[in-house]
Amino acid sequence: MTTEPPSPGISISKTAEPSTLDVSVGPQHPGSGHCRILIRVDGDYIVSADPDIGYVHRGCEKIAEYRNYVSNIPHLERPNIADAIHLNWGYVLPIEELQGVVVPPRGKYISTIAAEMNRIMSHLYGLAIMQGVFSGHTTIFMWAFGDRDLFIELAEMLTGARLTYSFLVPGGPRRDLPFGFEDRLSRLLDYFEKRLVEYDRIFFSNPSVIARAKGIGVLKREDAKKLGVVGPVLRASGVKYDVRKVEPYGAYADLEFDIPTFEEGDSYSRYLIRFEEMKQSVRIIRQALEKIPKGPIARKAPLVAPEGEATGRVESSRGEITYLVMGDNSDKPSRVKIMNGSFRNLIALPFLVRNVHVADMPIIYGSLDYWPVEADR
Amino acid sequence: MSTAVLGAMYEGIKHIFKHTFTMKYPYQKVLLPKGFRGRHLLYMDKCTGCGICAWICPERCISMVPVTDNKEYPQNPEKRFPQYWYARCCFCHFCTEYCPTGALDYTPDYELAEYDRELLLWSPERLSRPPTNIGEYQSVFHGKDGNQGVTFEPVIKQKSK
Repeated sequence: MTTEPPSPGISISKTAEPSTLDVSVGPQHPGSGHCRILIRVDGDYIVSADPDIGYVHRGCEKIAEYRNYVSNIPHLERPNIADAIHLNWGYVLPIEELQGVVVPPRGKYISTIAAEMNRIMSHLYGLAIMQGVFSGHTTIFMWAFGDRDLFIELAEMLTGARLTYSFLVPGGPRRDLPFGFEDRLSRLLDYFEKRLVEYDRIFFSNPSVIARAKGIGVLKREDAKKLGVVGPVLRASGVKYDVRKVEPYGAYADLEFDIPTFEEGDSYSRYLIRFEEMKQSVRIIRQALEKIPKGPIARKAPLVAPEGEATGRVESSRGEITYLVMGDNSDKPSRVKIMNGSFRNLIALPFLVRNVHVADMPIIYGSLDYWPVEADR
Repeated sequence: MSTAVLGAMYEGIKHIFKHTFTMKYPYQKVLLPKGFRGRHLLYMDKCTGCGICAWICPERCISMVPVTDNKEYPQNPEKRFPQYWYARCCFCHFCTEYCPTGALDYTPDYELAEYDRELLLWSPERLSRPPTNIGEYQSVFHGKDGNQGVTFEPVIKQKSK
């Protein structure tokens, strides 16, 4: 009797029925991103699916133990370049808690404005590629990407970089709002609100999109709770849960906004929830620009963190991100643990793509807005 | 249903008559804001060679090297200056912010590609050259709240309007 050596990833079992066929989607497929999804098909129907994660794993948590607290910031936000501010903020919050540094109010407002701009950019990216291209709608891909560039232009003005901001350090943001930024941002928001109406007409109310996405990949409320999905996927299933309300950080406690929820839990409601969140982000930025106080933007934080552990939670565009940081009286963390939305939402994929057409898999996968690099870390 | 189809078609057709968004890079370059994090600029008359930039660098791309020129640097008698290995730099510019004497600065230069790998190693003398990139195009909204589209126009032309 010979035993085969264990192969990396998921091995194909040999007990499959003769009528089924195993298909490997990815890991270099433009649709799946850097993630292999092993699907078993029976005719045109998917019998089972197994996402094989880890293709772009690079050990962010281990690398973080060898660099000092500030030097960790650029590489810890690299896992998700479309959503860099939230990955950065979740890491900075526990360090501030350990060091006992309180960010001044103006610093909190600037961080909130940057984070909400980043949420819009990230949702536009998701709308363009994960939802637009995957459902065969090239027009929304071009429009959303074009409008995302206008937000990138302003993010560049605020932080100095287009995507890799490294904007928040322990103690507060690195820069104050530049001259003329508020005017340009409010003018852009006026433009963007008109564009959202056009997006609705060409994409969300488009019967061909509704026909593709409505009723596909239904995640019921109880299942969503059991699987532990987070963020827009959870809210699309009817659970009203948002870290910005439950455990307010930054300036969210002072600002008024709603948490949009949908009851259906299908792919179409997951499309719509991001559309509604963009509207709420516009509302948050408008209020923050009005209410922003004067004063210092940051406090001086020490380079060393005392012994102890702290957690920070932020609501990123793909769900809740939790960071655990342990300090040991040195300038390097002794342990950094990251839990993020992409990883926790992918758990739902094998349950959603059961007994659906092969052509519906990109729709369901796109509606989860999965970012492989963030999940693999 | 049919009205929704017509609405989507109308929205698409309306877009044909709007301004085009595309900017023709490299013939047209975008105006970069002050403080854009491009390549670094080194003021050799301010640098004391303390090495804080090399300590804070997340990618370990900075090394302190001695310079062999005939000039005298009173603040830096050992003549040790930072040298950047741009194949590794992530442009976070923590070095610029942590510099105690303000010897490093931001530049809008981002076209750093080279044919030879060794040319990516920027010596202190090369880092102290002034920036060369000049962009002038910025986004402009046409019509009320940009309902006629968005284009990129030269800034000088915008001001004369």
